[in-house]
Amino acid sequence: MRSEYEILGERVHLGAEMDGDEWRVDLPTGEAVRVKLIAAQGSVMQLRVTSDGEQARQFEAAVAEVDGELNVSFEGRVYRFGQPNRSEAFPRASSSSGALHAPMLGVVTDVAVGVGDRVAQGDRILVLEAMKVIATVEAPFAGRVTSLCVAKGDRVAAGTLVAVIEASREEASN
Amino acid sequence: MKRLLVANRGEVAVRIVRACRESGIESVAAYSDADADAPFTRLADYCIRLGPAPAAESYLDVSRVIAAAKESGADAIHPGYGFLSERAELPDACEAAGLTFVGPPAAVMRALGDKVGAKELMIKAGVPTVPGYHGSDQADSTLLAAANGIGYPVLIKAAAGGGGRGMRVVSNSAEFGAQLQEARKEAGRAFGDGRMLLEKYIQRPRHVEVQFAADSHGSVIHLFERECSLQRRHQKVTEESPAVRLDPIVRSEMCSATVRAALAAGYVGVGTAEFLVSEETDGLQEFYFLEVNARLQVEHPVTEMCTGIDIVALQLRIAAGEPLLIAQDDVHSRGHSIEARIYAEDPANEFAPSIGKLHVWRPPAGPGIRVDSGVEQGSEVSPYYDAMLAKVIVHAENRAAAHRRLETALRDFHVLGVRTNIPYLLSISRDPVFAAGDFDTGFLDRRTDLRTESGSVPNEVFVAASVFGACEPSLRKTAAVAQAVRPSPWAAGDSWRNA
Repeated sequence: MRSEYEILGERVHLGAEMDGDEWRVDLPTGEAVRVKLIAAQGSVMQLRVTSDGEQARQFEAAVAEVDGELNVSFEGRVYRFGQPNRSEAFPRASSSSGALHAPMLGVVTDVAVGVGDRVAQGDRILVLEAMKVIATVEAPFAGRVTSLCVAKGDRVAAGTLVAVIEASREEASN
Repeated sequence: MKRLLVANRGEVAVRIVRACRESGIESVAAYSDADADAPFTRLADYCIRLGPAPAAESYLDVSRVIAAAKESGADAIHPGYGFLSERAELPDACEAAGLTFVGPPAAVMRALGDKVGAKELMIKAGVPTVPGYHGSDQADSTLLAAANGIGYPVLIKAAAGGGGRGMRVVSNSAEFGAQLQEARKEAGRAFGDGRMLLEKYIQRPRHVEVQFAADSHGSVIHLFERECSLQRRHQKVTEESPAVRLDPIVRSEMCSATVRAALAAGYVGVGTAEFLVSEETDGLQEFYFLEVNARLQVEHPVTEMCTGIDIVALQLRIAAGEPLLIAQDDVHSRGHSIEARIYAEDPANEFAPSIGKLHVWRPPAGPGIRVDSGVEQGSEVSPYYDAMLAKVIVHAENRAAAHRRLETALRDFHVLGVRTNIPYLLSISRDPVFAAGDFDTGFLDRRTDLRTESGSVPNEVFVAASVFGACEPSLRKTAAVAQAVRPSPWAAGDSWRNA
C-alpha cells in the first residue's frame, strides 16, 4: 500500500508492508528498513528502526492528520505531507477580480460598508481580528459593493469569500 | 480570604487556582463561552459564566467580573496579567463591593501608570531615569549645553515627532550644531513644528527587570532580576534569570533602586520594575528606569525557579494583610532558569495566528523542566485571545546547562493541529550568539534568518509517516496493547521523580 504525497515541493511515495511483527518501509533514498512500533500513546509513537548490519535505532515521533495533510512532529519540527495537486492557494483580491477573501482566519470585528455602497480604491471594507492580530480588507479598486458574505462577530477561515465588489462603469472608465 | 475569583483565563488561571488550593483558599473560575470547557474552568472548585467569547464582553468587563464574584460568593479577585490587571477601575470596584483585590491599591496603580509622574517619582527616589531635555527654551546654545550635560551619544527628536523623522543620533558636541539644524528643518517640513527634545541615546539596549514584593506593613524585598531582551516587535519570546553579562555592581544597584522605587510609590503587592541597560562605548553598563508593571508577570516562573519562592502564594499572603515572612537576606538566586513562550503562530508566515484543534499536545517533562499550560490534547485554540498556549521553563546549575535543557525540552514537545513557534524557539536556542548571551532588544527583529526552517526531511519522518499511514485505523488499539504490556515512561509525566 503506497500513497503519493508532496513535501517541501517534492513528490514522495510512502508505504509500509507488514512483515511478522515488523513493518518494511522503503525510504525515498531507495534504502529499505525494518521498523517496529514499540509503544504508542495516542498519536505519539516510539519506533525502532533496523537497517542491514546496523544497531537498531529508536526514536519518537507524533503523527496526525490535520486538514487533509499528514503532519509529523519530530525533534521540535513539524513536517507536512500534502496531497499532490491539491490546490492550497486561495484567490486573493486583485484588480481583475472583485471577490475579496479573508487574508487570515479571525473574527469579523467591523464591517465598514453595506451592500450597494460605493467605495474608492483602498477604502476599508471590513476588519478581522485573531489573537490580537488585526487585518483590514480594503477595496482593490473603486466600485460598488454587490455582496457581503459575513457580519460582525462571524468567525471566518483564511480564504473565505467575505465580499464582492464590482467596478462601476464610471469608475472603470477613469 | 476564603474564596477567590480568578478574573483571567488560560495558563495563568491554572497557576492561580493551584496556588489557591495550596493556600487553603477556594477558587472560582470565571469563564467566557469560548472557555466553558477549558482546563482552568474545570480545575477550579467552582465556575461561573462571565459572558460571550469576545473579551470586551467577558474578561474585560469590570461590572460583569464584580457581579460574578458576588454571585459566586467570592470575597477576593485575582486579575492575573493582561486583561484588567492594570486597570485601576478594578481595585476601585472591588473596594466599593467589599472584595479584596490581589494587587496594588488603585491609587498606586494610577500613579505608576502615569509615565511622566512615575518618572518624577523615581528621580526623587534616586532611581536613574533616561536623561533628557524637554524644555521650552529652544535656543541653540541651551540645547547644546543640555546635550553636553546628558552626555553623548545624544538623540535629537522632534517634539511633535514620530516615525523617525526629525530624528538624529549625535556622537559628539562638535557635530551637534549641524545635526540640530538638519533635524529642525526635517521636523519643520514633516510636522510644521521645529521644537526639539533631547534624550540620551541608549546603545545596544537590554531589557532587564527586577521582581519585588511589598507587604502592607512596610517591608519590601527584591527577588533579583530577569533578562527579557529577546523580543519580537516588543513581545517577549524568552526570558531568563540571572541576566546575562550583567555587571554584578550594576545588578546590585538595580535591585536596591527597585526597593527604593517600591517604597517611594507606597506599593503593596508584587510588582516588577523594568529597566533599560546600556552598554557604553567604554564597556561600562548603565541602567535606566522604564516603568513599574503593577501585576504578576508572565515570566514570573524564572524567578520562582531560581529563588524557590512561590510568587503567586506570596501575592495571596500580602493581599490577606499578612507580613512577607521572608527577609531580604533569605532571598537567594541559585542556578539559571530560562522560559520560552509557546505561541500558536506560524513563524514562517510572518507569525500569522493559528487556530484549530490540538490533535496532539504532549509537553516535555523531566528534572528541571516545568510547563505552565492552559490547554490540553483535544483543546480548541480560539481566535479570541492571546496566542500564548504555554510556557516551558527550565532550571539548571548554570546557563549552559539550562540552555541545553531548554533545547532538549523543546525537541520533546509534540504539538499537532495548530502551528507553533517551537521551531523558531529551537533555532534561537541553537544560535551561537544567543548561546553566548551577546544580544540586545533588537536581536530578534534583525535576525529574520531564524524564522525559516532549512534542511531536508529526516529519514525518521518518512518512517513515522509510512507506518502511521499504513496502520492508522488500528493505531489506537495497538497503543492500548502497548500500554497494557509496559507503561510508557513518559505517559506517567514526572511521577517517577517522586518514586
